[in-house]
Amino acid sequence: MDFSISEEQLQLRDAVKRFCDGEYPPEMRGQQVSADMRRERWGMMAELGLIGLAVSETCGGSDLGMVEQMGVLEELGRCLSPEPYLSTAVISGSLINALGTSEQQQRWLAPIAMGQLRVAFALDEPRERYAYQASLMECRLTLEGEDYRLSGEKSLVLDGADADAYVVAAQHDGALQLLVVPADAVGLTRTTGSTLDSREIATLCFADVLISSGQVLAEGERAECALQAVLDRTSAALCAESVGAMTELVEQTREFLKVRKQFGAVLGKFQVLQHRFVDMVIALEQSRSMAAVAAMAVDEADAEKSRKLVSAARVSVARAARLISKEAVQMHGAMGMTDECQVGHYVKRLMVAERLFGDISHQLQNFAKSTATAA
Amino acid sequence: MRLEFTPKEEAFRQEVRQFVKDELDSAIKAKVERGLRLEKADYVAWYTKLFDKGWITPGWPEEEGGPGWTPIQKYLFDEETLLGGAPRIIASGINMLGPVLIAFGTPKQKDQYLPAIRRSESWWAQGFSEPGAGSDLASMRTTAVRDGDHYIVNGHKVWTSYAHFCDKLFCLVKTDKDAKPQEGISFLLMDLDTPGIEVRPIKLYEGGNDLNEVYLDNVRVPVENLIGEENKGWTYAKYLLGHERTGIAGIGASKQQLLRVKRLIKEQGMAGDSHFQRRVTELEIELIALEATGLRILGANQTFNAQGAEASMLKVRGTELRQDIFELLYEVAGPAVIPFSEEAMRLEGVDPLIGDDERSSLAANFLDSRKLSIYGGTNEVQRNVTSKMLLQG
Repeated sequence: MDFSISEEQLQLRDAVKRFCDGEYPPEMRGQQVSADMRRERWGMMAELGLIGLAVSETCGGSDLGMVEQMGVLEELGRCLSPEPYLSTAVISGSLINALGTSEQQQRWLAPIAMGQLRVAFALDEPRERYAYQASLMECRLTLEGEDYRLSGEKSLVLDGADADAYVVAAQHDGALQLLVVPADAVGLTRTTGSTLDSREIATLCFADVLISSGQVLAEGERAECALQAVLDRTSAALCAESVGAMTELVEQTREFLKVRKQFGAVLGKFQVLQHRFVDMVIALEQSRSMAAVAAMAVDEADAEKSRKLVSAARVSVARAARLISKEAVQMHGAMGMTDECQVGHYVKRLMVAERLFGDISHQLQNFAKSTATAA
Repeated sequence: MRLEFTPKEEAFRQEVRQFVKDELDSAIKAKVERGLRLEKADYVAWYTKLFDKGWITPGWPEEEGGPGWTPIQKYLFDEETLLGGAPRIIASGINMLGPVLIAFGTPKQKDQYLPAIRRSESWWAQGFSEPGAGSDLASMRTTAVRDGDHYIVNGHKVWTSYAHFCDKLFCLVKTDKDAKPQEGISFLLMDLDTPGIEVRPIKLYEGGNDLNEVYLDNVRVPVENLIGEENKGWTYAKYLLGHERTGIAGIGASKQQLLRVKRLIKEQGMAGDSHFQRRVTELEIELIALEATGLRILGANQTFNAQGAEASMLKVRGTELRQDIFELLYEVAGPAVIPFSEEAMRLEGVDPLIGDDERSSLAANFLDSRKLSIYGGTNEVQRNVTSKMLLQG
């Protein structure tokens, strides 16, 4: 195992850091921003080559892996970026990259890499909790001649409020299908809202939406494998994003402990806080290690091993996030509970990351299952 | 970044694994795996095999008899030997004094002591702590007064691990009583059979007697037994305490004990118990995170908070995780921990109540595991050191 970061990877991280420091000044983090501003930032990220990082070169990308994306996601998490990097660049991009025909890739992937198309991922459904098997999905396809009709509801679609298109998971006679549906499809209505951490989210309602065979990315076992792989990828990405957010929470707490005075001394002089702060740092460092493990697993390991390590990483990161969040609030005192203080915005980002695509219990089960199979 | 070890590293791992399989005596392995007490002969038997192979001092430089391994190789060696049920390297000569001699000893001292340490012919005890100087080591009071070619040493050392196995003692003594606490300390070597030295075992609450007291009453120590310069002993002691970094997290030992947890759960027909299942899963995950962090420290271009305190962080997390595992073992054993016998802990004869039920030893193992957060600088001291890096300056 080698955690060494190459010079190229280091340069990429520096470039992303410069972009983020410029585009996400502290006072704007966690605040709602206009759609125009988000479009503009998205274009800048495309110009930097960040969106197409893991997209094949034929579609204008750099053909790199999760390890490189990890550096980007960490920075975006550190700045509470509301951009749809996870949904478009990590999830939908990699699915179309892995599954799409060259025609589909030219149609959707090339514009994604260029920042012209934002594609969200519609997987969860209102009635189920992280039950990602086709047989349990109420979003169904029915054949109609050469085409299909799609009906059903998808919930918790992150960045779904103003996406240009969606990758949708649905079942057809018990088999999984992954398809691309444009946002303006006839019969698709979306109900939009906000997440706990002030990002955009939507529920999608499909009523006999016409799906041509050209919109289908994969079906059956091929789709199942791709879904498992992209869920691991998503988990690795959420770990990286959370590490970024935790880094900032720890940093802000450190600064606060160094300046806030009570009883005639800065808080950092009190041993009870020193020791608890050290535990926050240890949790952060372990999370950083595990985010790297998860990214490497996604890039290198077989499905079984990847699932095991990625679920371990998510449990580890989620536990650290809880500890760091609670302690950051406590150490900031009542200030830590105000909307004005940034701590709360980071805490909420971490809470959402913990619950997207599988919570701690779900990941513990995944880990136990993959360990049992491997043994 | 690369998830897998290189083929060369994997080949090395296999070589170590095979060596342990071929060379480790099965009775010793059984004792280690069941958490029973080891005799000096058990340690020496294993260390001699390692010496013959050239592997006894992984932390020493190659020109002094080290194998010239990379940090990853050292890591793999620790993991594979412990996972294979081999005894730990407890000899302070190998872990502590050797590196100090290599860095600060005279050529004569090195020639005199290093070969015997490597061959396990001489065993060194560590005389640091005192009744009034535990975590606050610098407040020690044992004195050494110059008298011609000798120092006259008087004082009282305590918590001296394995002194009953040892023939020699390295010792911190006060050579300038008027200096500030960390100054005026010197580092002295002595034979344990020098007149005036008495070693008394300390009986511990779980029945063990690894620890001892050492009384020093007008002990005459030749001046040539001084390490480095007089009054500079604190520097050498700090070097010693900071040196032994690999293996500080105890990954191999934790892995081995987690395997034991799983085996005992299965043997007792409790595989379906969701409480135990969940605890095992959680601890396995924590172990992966600790292991990854230990390895990440070795990688290039890493960002670390508390740069310089990585070893303290690993010590804290590693020992607390091992304690959690021992606590789970103790839980898994259920009421089988109630009967207890010293003889059974030493695998001597068969206790009529306990027979060969290894679960009996888990109470003693749990009690013993509390030492992990106390020795080598308590975890509170480690957190102090780390927070200093984080919150000052």
